[in-house]
Amino acid sequence: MPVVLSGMDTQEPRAVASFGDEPKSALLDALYDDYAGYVAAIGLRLLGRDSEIDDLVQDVFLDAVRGLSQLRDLDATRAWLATLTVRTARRRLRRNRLRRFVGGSDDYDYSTLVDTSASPEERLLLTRCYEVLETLPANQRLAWTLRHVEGEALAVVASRCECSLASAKRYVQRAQARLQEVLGND
Amino acid sequence: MTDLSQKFANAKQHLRPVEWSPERSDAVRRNIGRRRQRFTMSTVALGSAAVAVAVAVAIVWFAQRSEPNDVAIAPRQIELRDGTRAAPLGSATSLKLLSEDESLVTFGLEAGKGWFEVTPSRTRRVEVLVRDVRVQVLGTEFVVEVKDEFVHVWVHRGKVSVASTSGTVVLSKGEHGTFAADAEEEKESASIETDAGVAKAVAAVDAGMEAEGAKVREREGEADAGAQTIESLPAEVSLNTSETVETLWKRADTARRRGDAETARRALAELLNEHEEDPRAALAAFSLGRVLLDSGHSAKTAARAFAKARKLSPEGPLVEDALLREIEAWHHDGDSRRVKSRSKKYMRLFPKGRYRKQIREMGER
Repeated sequence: MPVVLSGMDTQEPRAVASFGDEPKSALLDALYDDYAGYVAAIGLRLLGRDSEIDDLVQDVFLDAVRGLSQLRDLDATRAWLATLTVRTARRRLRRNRLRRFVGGSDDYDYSTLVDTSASPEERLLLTRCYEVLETLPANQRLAWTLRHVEGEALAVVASRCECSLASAKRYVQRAQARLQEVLGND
Repeated sequence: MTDLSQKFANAKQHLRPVEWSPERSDAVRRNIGRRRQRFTMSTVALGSAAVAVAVAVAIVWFAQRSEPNDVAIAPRQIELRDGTRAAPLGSATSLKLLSEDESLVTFGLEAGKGWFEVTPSRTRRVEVLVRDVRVQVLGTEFVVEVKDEFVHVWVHRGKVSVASTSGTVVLSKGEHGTFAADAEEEKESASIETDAGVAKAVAAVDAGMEAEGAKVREREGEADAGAQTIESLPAEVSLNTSETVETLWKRADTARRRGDAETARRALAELLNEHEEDPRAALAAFSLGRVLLDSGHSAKTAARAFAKARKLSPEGPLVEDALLREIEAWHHDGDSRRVKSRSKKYMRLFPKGRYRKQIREMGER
């Protein structure tokens, strides 16, 4: 029976602060135990593809190991990992976009993201929404997803995207305009 | 909120959560471990490769450095605490630090060529002894070479004072001086060409008869007194052409040291007479002029000896000093016309010369 987690309802896990002097591998294990599900949940929302989540989680925790020295406040571990997840997702989105640009096949059925309880209209809306997001620049897509799917405040969006608040607003607005343009006419 | 936003807000509740099972989590964890291991190994491999390359480069570099080029035995550089450095140039060089104290540092160059870079100091002198030549350093960079019977000094920066058997000469940046080393070994003179005019002049000096027996033929306006000749050579003067330059140098120097000006004068005159083509002839002429002046001989003859020195080595380091001495000699002789013409020549040749003031004052007296 799988443990079901989502980015929104994951609670702050047990304190990793107790690993202050532990070797990196021990700290990584603790981080992984506590936050792997959280990272996977955000990753799924950002990328929209379950098949890429395993790789994303691996990349995030490998980056986390290399960047552990940058982590000054263990209480901020969750936010730090979220930022790493957004950064890693951005890389993957850009890589996917480049692959499509050079002619690689990248068809994906986003309807698998929607559960069975959704109405046909809702299923269509969510599927079309992710299809349009697929066409947007990575920053716009990430900012919009964090704002409207994860429900984060704009300041948090800016922090996660490692950009200014103004840029975060601009990304969200542009993505929203594009979605409105495409889906508003559907 | 737009209609679309509202619809999406309602619909997003139907987005599936991630299915993060323990099995999936463990599988990802194992992959992370493997990737970390690969990363570590590749980092180690890259680091090892970099170290190997660095070691290889270092080995090649050291090997190249230690390879003898033209130096069979690479002698080591001598470096003093104040930064003064000396280094032998070439395998045949014998360079030593003879003594070092607070007031004097003495290097000895027995053979070959040495490079010196001396840190200026008010309290400490640096000297290089090369046989009978003493190079006194005033804060400079220079090269000294002892070759055959000569000591060559090239000044790259600053000034050096070179004291040899024939006197003291200051060499400045860019100048090169050749001095008799007064070596023990002797060589047969390769060829002897005598200039009749010079022979007569020197012989006249030697016989002390120039005042009554010589007639000076001068060309009007010709400043170079070395071009002048003295006629009416006394019949009793004989020139010994069998002696080598080295023998004559040694005899002149020995005589000068013991105060025997007459013997020194004879030896120098003979050297000048017999070996005018020798590179040391200019030095001999200059020394002869000094000996003549110091021993109270005719200032006119001394002036001509200095002029001869200039003529024999017009680009040499002695020219400026020789011209000054010549002017002094003409001044002693009371020949104001020649003092004036030689002074003009000095100002023209050495517009920034060391003796300008001295010469100007001499002309005013």
